[in-house]
Amino acid sequence: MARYILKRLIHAMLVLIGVSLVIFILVRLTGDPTTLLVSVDARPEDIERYREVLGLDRPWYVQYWQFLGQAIQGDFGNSFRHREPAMRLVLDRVPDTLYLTGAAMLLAYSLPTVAGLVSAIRPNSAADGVIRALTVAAQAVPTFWLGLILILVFSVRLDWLPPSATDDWRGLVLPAVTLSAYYMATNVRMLRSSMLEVLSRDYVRTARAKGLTERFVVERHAFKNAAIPLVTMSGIQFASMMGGAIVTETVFAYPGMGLLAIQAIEGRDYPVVQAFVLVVALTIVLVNLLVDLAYSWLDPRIRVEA
Amino acid sequence: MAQPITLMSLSVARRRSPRRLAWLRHLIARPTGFVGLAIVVIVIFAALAAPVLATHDPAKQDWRTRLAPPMSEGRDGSLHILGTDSLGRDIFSRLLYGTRISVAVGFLAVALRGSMGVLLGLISGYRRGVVDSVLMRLADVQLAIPFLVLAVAIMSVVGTGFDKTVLVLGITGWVIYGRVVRSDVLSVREREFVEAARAIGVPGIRIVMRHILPNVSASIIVISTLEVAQMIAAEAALSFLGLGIQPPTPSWGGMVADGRDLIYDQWWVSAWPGLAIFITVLGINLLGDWLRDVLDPTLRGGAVIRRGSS
Repeated sequence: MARYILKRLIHAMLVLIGVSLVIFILVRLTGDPTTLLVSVDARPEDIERYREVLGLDRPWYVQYWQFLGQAIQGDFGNSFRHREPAMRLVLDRVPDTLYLTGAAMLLAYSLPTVAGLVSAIRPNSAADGVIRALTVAAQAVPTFWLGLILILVFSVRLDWLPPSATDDWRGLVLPAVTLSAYYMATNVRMLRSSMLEVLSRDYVRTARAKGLTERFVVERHAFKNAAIPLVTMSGIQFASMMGGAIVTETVFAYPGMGLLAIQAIEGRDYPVVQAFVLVVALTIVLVNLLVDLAYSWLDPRIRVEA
Repeated sequence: MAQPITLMSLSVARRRSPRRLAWLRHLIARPTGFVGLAIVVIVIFAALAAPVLATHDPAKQDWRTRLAPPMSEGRDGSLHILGTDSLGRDIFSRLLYGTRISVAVGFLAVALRGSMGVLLGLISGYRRGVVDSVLMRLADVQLAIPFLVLAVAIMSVVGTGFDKTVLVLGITGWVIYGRVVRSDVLSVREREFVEAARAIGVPGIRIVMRHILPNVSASIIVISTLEVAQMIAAEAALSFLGLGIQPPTPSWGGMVADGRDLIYDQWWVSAWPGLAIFITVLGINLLGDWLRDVLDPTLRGGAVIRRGSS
């Protein structure tokens, strides 16, 4: 087990180094920072001196090393707009984005469990038909449009829920539903097909032949095995949700880091965008590490193979 | 308990029938595939015939007829079937021209990610070793940054517009092809016919092109179909965020964004383009699901190959 954890940790570190390279390339793509920092009428020798001070005259790997040292300390420079450290601005918004993605994950793994089971236990029934039609629709609806339609129906027409973020849970409902719709549908479909597959296996037939109740067979024998793909996918789905949160936060003016990033892009506030990418990647690598470890604890075969 | 038996007898019956007719049988058994095909045909037709079908110049502004509701008449007596936007432009005509953008971005982006991913997947799976490890680590890095975050970050520095949208969508999505093709190649390369080809001295590149690629093409076709839908949705999302296609070019995502603040009273400005995205993506998904069942039963379930949403 210790070896497996070590292996996963090294892997996570490698991924993060790769991510830092990607961000470094992005930084360089923004162009020569001296053109942003010195005035237009500066003399060439002044610009050259500035480049030396910033270390821009050195080879790229030296610059990368320097960048890495600063990135590890969370130093991405000051936000051009807010004149505050970019990293602090992003970190301030992390809890709000985690509330949103957390609530969306909760939705994506609760309702689909019920719907997927109903669908799989009575395939081709009326309930199955309705559930399947809903999942197909939910996988096709554009997130931002769904958000607007939900606002139109539940805020404007029915006046049940606020159209934008508030301090209590009511402001979280519509954004969380919007963000999770696609994943709910995906998970229902995934659970349905893996349940159908498991229910046709020999050990389920044996369990039924032993005279166990159908409920017991479904709950104890089938569901536990059919749920494995859902656990496997949870890390990837969480990652994808962090991306989807950009759109959802924009629609609902929800004050998470996605909205901050979009506003930063509009203002060409590159340090904030770069800090945002790093924080997202860091969160995802951490969550995937936890999923991997939880997974190996649930299924010992994995750590033996590794 | 009748379930396994019927499934078994079905597969026996299927095996006996000539393979050529299998897809037809499937189409009859699953009318959703037919619906998907019909939607895709209509969308492509709308894209091609946009100049003929459009009732107005999509760029023509008229502040006197701005925000006219659906089915209202313009000053010249012409009908605004779906209404007009805040600049008085005809939404129906803009929708038709927007179809061209969506279809073009969808196909070009998928062609780019597909060729990149298939190439890298083939190399990775066939050569294995160091190349394979490096490429797969690269894939891990890319998966640690959500597609939309990466696309947004890149577009913030390289800029926006049609070509850049296609490019960014194209280069950020090879991983899904790369992984599927790689795992297919890993299993195919151990089969006897590949071993036989290698034994008689067929060069590696020829083995890959003639013996391995045809065997992984089913997965590639299925993924590509579903990816076109994903790319159309992604372009719409980027344009909605103001990063993709720029005004005045009509794009569905941009049109939804135009009507965002009008949702309280002039719902039609956002509603129609959103509906267009929804129906198009739905149609392609239905077609893709059907193709998957016909071509590649091993991919069934679909959840694994559809990761991001936008």
